[in-house]
Amino acid sequence: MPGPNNKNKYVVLVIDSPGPEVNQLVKNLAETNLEVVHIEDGQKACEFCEANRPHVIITELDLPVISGVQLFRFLKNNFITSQIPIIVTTKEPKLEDRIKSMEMGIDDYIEKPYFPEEVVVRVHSLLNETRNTEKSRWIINHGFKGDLEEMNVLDLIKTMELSRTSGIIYLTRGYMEGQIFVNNGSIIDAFIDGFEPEQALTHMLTWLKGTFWVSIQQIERTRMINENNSKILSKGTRLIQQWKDLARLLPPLNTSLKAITPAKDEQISHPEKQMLDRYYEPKTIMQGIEESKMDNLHALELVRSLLQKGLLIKGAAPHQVKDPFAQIVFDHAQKKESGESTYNQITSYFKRDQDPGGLPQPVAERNNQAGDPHNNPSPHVQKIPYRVFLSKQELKRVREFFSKK
Amino acid sequence: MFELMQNTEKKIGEILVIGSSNSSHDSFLYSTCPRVMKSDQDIIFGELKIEPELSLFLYGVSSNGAYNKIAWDIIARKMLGYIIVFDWFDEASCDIAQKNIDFLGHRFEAPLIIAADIKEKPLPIKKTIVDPYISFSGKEKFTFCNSKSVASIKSVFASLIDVAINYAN
Amino acid sequence: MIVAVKAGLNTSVKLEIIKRIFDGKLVSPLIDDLKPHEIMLVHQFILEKALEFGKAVKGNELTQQDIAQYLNPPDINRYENVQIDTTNKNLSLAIEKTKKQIDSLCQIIREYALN
Repeated sequence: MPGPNNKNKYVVLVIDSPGPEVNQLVKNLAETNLEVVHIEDGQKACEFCEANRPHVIITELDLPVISGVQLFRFLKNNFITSQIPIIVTTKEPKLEDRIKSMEMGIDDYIEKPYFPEEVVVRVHSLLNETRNTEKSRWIINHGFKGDLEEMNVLDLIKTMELSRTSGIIYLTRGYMEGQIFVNNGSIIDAFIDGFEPEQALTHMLTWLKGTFWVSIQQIERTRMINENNSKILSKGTRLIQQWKDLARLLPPLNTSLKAITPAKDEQISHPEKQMLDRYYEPKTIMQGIEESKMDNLHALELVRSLLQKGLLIKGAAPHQVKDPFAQIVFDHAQKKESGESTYNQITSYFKRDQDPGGLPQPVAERNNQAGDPHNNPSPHVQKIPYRVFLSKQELKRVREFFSKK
Repeated sequence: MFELMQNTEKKIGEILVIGSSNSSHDSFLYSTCPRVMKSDQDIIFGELKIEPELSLFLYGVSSNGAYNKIAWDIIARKMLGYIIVFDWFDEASCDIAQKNIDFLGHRFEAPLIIAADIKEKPLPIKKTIVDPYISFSGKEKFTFCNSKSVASIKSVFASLIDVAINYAN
Repeated sequence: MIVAVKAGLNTSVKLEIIKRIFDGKLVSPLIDDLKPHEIMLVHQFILEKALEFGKAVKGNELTQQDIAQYLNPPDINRYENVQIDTTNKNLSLAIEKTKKQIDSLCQIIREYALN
């Protein structure tokens, strides 16, 4: 696993005033095959991080020139450094500082005086975790990412073609993920789980919403796509135009639709039935298309056909359905003597106070596509996935602990 | 030394306990953790050492006060799961619990235990029905608890761990 | 307050139902404003719990007849999205019948579950 200095070592940055404790820590870290850089002030540390992007940062809260808090803000707001794990060391941390650190994304917290061996253990623990997400780290180091609405797949291909770059374009749209492999500016392969390479590429050419990561790197892969770029780009342009023409004949793609059960003698094709099944729960046109995993254009044509047959009708938008239980809860909260309703308190979470430094927005706000005037969560808020960091064995031991009297 | 360090990595799991201001979520931490720190923003924190290299960090949050200042999206990434506690006999507490459930359910996929605190009153239903919990879904369970009983509180934690085990490798 | 209706019933709704059942209150008034497919979700949830609790209490002695009398919810799905007055009248009847079934199922649950 190469670090920025290509010496195959992870780089650890220690930010603290010199002293016997820090010196011992630097020594202990270096003995475990890490490249250790020791910087005393926060300002220089920021410059180092931007230029060299260490793998882990260990920092004191109380720094000269700029404070630890200012340092964190800089790192977390900076695209290049936002993913670097940070360990904070300080004397007698107040719980408020600890919680604030947690809010700002600090990965670990160690009180001084510490055992340098303990810090070394924590560093390696974080590096182990980092190895599992090495792909995204590599992309951030050597590439760029963005929104397909600003720069679509055709633009990305043209960019790589012009600069004769090699790399991988990672694409995400709704539930789907795909990759396009480019060698010296020429597309050689494409991948979406369950699709042939050329089908996968055709699919991805019409992804006009979603995100991309472009990772610049050498590609060693067998060529699976034989068409040259200009044919691919020309096909892509035609497909996008077909999509837009078809979409113009339909209601807006964020219109909610609902399926009607067809009559017994009504003849519908198997693909139409598959598409219809998507809409028995009301959802937007685009949601149904994404969930179907069919080719976009084909899916859109099916929706059009079903609308014409009257088997799809406009349903209530998911976020407009009244929930009587919630109304009861809300009314009760309104009557409370404490003043502001608890409901408003909870939903005002979405409006986290803006610091002058501009902390990153919570995930919920970034993903809030529909938005509504009552600050209700958008039905399209992306859920934070669940990941268990302890193994089954470890959890069983925890379970045993709670079973003891 | 490097290899030795690798064999002794400390592992941490995190659990969040959320209650209304009238509920007894505090006791979930105070009765299990040897040391609990309390902030002035209604957040409490305790560490439970399961083994020398395995700890649980428990966070107790009241849904009043600091609730809306918490960076839930950051905290959620490492949580084993959540416990929502409310007073079974208090309608207001139940209302708040429902809001908390909606809030968490919309945003996070982590397991949830809904613990209705009956304090020291008798269980309103037969034990066989609710032992160890009533399932609302694969990841969401409902149970009764007695916030004055350490054994009862531990049982709620155990239920959460049981659900988490199903999703661990 | 307006909340998204997911593929299943909201968990907070399930909690409200369970609380009403165990407190001896009627569940049916809560479903007055629900759409037909939502009422079906409530019916389904209550039926599942009736079976679960019945099994927990009676074990292998639970017979089909114990619950079967409540296993035929009216087919209110076919009345959805049809805008004719006469069918609306049938829809109301269908909903009333479902509400009664829900209340009966809740009573069954109480018989099994309460001390």
